[in-house]
Amino acid sequence: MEAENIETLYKAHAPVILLYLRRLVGNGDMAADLLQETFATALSSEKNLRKAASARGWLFGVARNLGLNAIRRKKVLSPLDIDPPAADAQEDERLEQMWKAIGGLPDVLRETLRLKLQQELSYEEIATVLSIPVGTVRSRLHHAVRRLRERMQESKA
Amino acid sequence: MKLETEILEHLLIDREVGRLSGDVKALLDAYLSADPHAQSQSAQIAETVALARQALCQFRQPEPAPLPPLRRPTDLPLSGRRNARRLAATAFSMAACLVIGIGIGLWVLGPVKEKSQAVSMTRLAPPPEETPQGEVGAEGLWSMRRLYQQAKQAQPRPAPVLVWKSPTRVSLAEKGSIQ
Repeated sequence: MEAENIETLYKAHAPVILLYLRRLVGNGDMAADLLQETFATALSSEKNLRKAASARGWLFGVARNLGLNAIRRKKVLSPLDIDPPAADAQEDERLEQMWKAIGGLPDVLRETLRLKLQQELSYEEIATVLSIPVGTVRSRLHHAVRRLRERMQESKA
Repeated sequence: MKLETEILEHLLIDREVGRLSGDVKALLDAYLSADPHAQSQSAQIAETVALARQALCQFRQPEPAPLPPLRRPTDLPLSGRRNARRLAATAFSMAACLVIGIGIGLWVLGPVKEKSQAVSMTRLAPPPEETPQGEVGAEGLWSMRRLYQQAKQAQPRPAPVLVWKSPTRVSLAEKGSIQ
């Protein structure tokens, strides 16, 4: 990949990937290092990046793998598992309930939901990130929404 | 025609996450306008997705970090580069050892020219007859031939024996008469 292209990709996607990594590893410095490593991998794996249907999805996939490796090495916990909800969420009871419901989802469903609703990735991009078929992305997302809906109805009742 | 609840749910979720195409969306809207139960289901799903998005995005807000500048791989202390450097250092030291070893070997065995000539001669010559086991590698530093030559050189030369031959010969008859 030419330097110009990498610069363009960096400007376009680095901010959202940095946010994603910060949420994933829960450490700003580590996330910044992982971001650099993600783009260094993009530079060294030019062919794979070109082959990818979506550069954004491919970069997210690399960032995710690096982040998960870092978590395994350092035993960092995902912030969603440890952080209390934000102040606004505590004020709003329903939002807090939703927060808890999301926290109660299995990892695979929660990760798919986060990639869709937080990162606003397409099904195809999520499939690239998680290395799963698009149909699996769809079914996981539907399953997650169905569960959240059930939990919210239970809490209402 | 009534849609199955499960199919309807799939369509509604797809619509909320922006996955449905325009024409399918229009068809779904038309269906929903005619079915109040489906409408309430649609409202619940829309509310759930919106609330989930809000909950997740609130976590996103805390501190928008400034984007660090892109560093080139040469600036990065990546483990891969460290490994490559270590490998290069090992290869360099091995090559240095090899060169020193070859140098010492050539110095001990003699000039390169003779050796190469000998090699070319052996290539041209017909295959030699089987040599005894001890003679294999006879050109080596500790070869039998070399040791033998050294031992031979080290032995003192025998003193030359002077043999005098008279030009005149005495016959046996004369010998007897002399006696």
